Amino acid sequence: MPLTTVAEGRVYDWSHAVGRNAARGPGFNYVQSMCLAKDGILFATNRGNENNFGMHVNKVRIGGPGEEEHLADFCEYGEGDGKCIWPFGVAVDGNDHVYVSDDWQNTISVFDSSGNFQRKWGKTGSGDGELMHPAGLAVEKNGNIIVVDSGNNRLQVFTPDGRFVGKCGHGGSGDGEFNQPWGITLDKEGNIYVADWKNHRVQKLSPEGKFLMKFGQYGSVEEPEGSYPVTTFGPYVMSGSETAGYPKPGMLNHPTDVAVDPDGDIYVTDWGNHRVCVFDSEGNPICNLIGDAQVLSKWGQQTVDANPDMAKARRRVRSLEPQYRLCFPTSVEFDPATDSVIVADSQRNRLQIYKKVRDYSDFQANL
Amino acid sequence: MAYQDDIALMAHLMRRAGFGAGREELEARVAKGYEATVEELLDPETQPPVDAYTLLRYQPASLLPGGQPPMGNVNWMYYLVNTKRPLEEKMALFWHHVFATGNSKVDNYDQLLQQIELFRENGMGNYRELLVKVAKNPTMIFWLDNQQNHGTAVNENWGRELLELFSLGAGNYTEKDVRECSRAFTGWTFETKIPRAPYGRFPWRFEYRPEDHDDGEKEFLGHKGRFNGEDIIDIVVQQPACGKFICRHLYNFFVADEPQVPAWPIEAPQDQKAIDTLVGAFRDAKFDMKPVLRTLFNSDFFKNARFKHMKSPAEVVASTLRMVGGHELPKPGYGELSMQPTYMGQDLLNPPSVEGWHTGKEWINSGSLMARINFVAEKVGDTSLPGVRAIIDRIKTKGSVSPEQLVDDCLDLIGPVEVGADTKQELTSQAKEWGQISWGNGNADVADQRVGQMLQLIAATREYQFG
Amino acid sequence: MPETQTAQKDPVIVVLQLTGGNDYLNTVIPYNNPLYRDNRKAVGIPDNQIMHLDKDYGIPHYMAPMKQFWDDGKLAILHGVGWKDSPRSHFRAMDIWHTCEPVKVGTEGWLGRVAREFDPKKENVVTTVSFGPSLPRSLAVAGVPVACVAGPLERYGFLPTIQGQQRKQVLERFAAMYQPAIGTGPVMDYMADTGIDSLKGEDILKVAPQKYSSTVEYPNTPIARKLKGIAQVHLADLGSRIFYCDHSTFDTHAGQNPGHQNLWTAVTQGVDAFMRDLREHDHADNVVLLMFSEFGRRVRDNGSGTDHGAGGVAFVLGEKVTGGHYGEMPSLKPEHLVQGDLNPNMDFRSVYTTILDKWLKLNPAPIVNGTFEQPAFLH
Repeated sequence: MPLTTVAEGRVYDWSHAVGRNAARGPGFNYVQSMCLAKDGILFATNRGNENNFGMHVNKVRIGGPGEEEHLADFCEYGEGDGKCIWPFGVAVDGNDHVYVSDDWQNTISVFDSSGNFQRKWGKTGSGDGELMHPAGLAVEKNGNIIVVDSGNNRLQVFTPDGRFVGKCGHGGSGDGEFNQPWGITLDKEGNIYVADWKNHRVQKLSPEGKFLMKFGQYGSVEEPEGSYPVTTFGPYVMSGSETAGYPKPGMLNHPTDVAVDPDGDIYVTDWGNHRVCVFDSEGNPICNLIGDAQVLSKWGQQTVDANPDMAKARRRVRSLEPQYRLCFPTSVEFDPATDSVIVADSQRNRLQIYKKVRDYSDFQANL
Repeated sequence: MAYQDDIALMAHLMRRAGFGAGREELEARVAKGYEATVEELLDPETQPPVDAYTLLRYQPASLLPGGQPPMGNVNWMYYLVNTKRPLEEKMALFWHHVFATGNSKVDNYDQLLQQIELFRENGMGNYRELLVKVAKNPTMIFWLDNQQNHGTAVNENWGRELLELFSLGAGNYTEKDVRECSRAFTGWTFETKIPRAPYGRFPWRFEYRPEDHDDGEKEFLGHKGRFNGEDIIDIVVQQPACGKFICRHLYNFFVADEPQVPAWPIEAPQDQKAIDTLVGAFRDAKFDMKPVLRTLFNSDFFKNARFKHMKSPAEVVASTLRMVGGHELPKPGYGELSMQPTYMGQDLLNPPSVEGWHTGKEWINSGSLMARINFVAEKVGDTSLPGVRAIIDRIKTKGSVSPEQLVDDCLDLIGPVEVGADTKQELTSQAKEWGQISWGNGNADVADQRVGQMLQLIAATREYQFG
Repeated sequence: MPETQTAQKDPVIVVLQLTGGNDYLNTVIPYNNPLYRDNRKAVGIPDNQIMHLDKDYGIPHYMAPMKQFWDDGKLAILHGVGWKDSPRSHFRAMDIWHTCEPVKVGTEGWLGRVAREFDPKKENVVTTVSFGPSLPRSLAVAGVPVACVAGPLERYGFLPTIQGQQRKQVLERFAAMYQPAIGTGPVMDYMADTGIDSLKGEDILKVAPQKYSSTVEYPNTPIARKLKGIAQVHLADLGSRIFYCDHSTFDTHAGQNPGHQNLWTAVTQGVDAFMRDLREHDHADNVVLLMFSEFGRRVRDNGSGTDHGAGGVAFVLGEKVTGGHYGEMPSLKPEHLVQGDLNPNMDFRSVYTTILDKWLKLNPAPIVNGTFEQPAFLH
């Protein structure tokens, strides 16, 4: 089970995992989306559940292996100012303000970088400036906020204080049309990439919202004979094969998010296929990252240390490979400062981090 | 009148083979025909499956819900409310009644849901194959301790329940058969599972350990051989008692309430001929469930059994939510909604014991009666819900209705429901208090409310508790 | 006359279930034990936030009302409760507490059996009143009625969404519709009886909030609302003997310190108001309150919370309780831990046995399925 993925002039080397299953404090609780701020700080929205009500946003410093640090929980479950029922999208602007969309209350709440509530806006509906199940958020260079208005199958642009600026798209499967889109990202030219969830594709739009390109088509796999189904809906782990339990490159099953690196390579969380698909800037598939968390995160290790029966059981299992793999990844970010691909591994309540290695020199075959 | 009777019969079929249907759906199905509807129900693949991805987008925690409610209940409730394959889901519920496995011991809704998925996929297939799959189902193995059933030390829990509760019924085997049956299942266990900490749960996997299997000769129900588990199942399904037992379960679940299972060895079925008919179909089809169900739904004894079955809490909740509408997408509060059957005495995925739930009149006690009436009343009284609006809109087309018409229309559109003369008189007396109901002259709100209140009162009747 | 009436009042048991597995070590803190600090680096209660009960044990400051009960000698602390081979599963463990059946899956609840003893002919439909939407297994025995109050007591009853003028009329219709009629068969008759019984329960319980007046103000928390409901029914003298309520969730895997604080603040403030209320009405003497949780938590914290453990703590509180420590805290030494957990040294059925024998005056063995030692917190 290699930790390094090599393909067409690119090398991705698994670095480490961050997080564990926790309703609050150090850990995650079903991350729906995340965004990177300065200095390796990351904000993540957690969906929680109706038992622990762990819905919240957390602020985490990723650091290197073993350096993860929990900085704050905010935007907890509730209806008043500074609270969310279902926090979903998150983005940070140039003033370090954090924008959070609420999938249920159809609002956008704004916090400072410590999580102090600033203001909120948004109301339910389908008219201009009205929202229905808002999902991903992105901040334009001019400071305006693009909201993936998922229930209305469109994008809407707002000023930072919530004034409607513009919109594009509507329901459908044609070019520039959407079906319950989820995540969004901008490249350095300001082009817009949207994970068009129910259309199983990514669309690229110009900064003005004009359709430029689409890529990805629906594909999934049946449970292969003899595999280990991690859940009823996969992933299907076939020991000794990195491809057997996954569809061909370029196939997508309910993609949730997109990231673009400075070279123009595009990363898509292929949620239903439990992987990150890497595409070149033209939308040609390059390779897939399926999760390689062979080493526990710092917090994960703490949990195991506190629970001797878990530690014991881990030493008895036939293979821990199912635990290495991504399970419904929801969000992806690229950190140019560290050349890292950061993946929110939603069902496993952790992040998996890969380094894009630029100066990789191959070793001698006869080592 | 004949058309009205077709509607009533179709409503009966949809209540039993599914979780009810609104008036529009009933009309469409009547147009299609009764037998054609039965065929559609028996062929679930012709309808799209439930969109689990939408559930997981909104409620990701319902995939691997762990040991605490309500996220496991949320998962199943979403299927119950949304399925377009009602009989598939109803059969999953049926087998959950029979192969009752509970979270109280398993502590793992993930595994219980996976077992329900097994019932969904195989519930209308071959009963022999289903038994084999259940015997290999790690959740069942743990529930009945078969991982502790060793070649050197037999644990009879699974072996006994296989015969008593899952296939033959008490009185159709000896203690020696239990012993021999259990020996045959030694070595049927599961792999050590990846523990839940720190990244959440992973599934169990069946494992057969030949070195732990007692390969010696067994004598079971008159047969002799070095039987393994599947051989035992082959012998079991051939027993005349097996067909009788399973078909009586089907009758009790789909046709009319029978006494509780422990009484079956003593009390004869209320309709022996019906059971014989089903048993014949079961045998002829070599234990395929579909032909048995086809026989059942097309039989006169089924068609004549309207309202002879006390609705289970799962049926009450699922059929109410499907009727009133507006609960298709997961939303905050779905957890509480999905616990409603629990409050009425049927904690789905957590039956009180391996004997499953006592059904029929035993669903009713003072607490559960109040819980079920209040739940249904709250929903049917909410005139903003689309299904309630649809009922109101149909009545509204008349512009104005008399008290008698209001009662008749409400009874018709919420069912049709048949009530006794005394009940009807009380409903009518109440409607008379309100007088003529009219939607004109700014009275629409009051009129809507009156319909809602009449529906609530109907939901509170004894008759409405039957389906 | 009032005084003798009080003296003769039937004993009442109130159970407050701490659902989710309360962390024993942060509830009754062995503050001098260095192993406590070693194991509780993230969730240990700082010294300046511990209220000392005596030279060995303290409680966190957020359980302050308990200190008064302790000082008054009315709080019994039962150490190390649980049982051998306690499972770390919420459900299984809770089920065992409810049914007194640690080996097989039990079907009868211990308090359901108590109710059957109290009222074998089911003459009082409110002998047992449970505050919460679902019936706890400890109350479940076939044929034993339980009044389950899901929401506010004021709204207990059929068709709560119909209020105002309509309500009386509609409920009269309901009663009329549930009159047994000739020739409708045994099931319809049974339903008629059940419906009328429930209506009766509604009529009886409706009186309680109407009769109630008090100077005591309860905090605005779910558990305080439930306890207030219990006080209202108890003060109305309706013959209720068993009350049940719960608070959750004590399942503090993460962010334990703020969480545990919120939970116990709510519980102890609610209990404090409840006991003051009963005393104000001279109705405290015949009430004993039991608080228990299905298990304690891991000795070593996980960096933010604690995971499922074994041995736990129970509390019994009341005017007639002999306060003090009962049993002793199991050793925290690594060599004495079982899978990282405190090894229970008091069987939970001992707690029930004392309550049954000394308070409710019932033969404990058939109710708890065996004979157990009796810690002497009641006489």
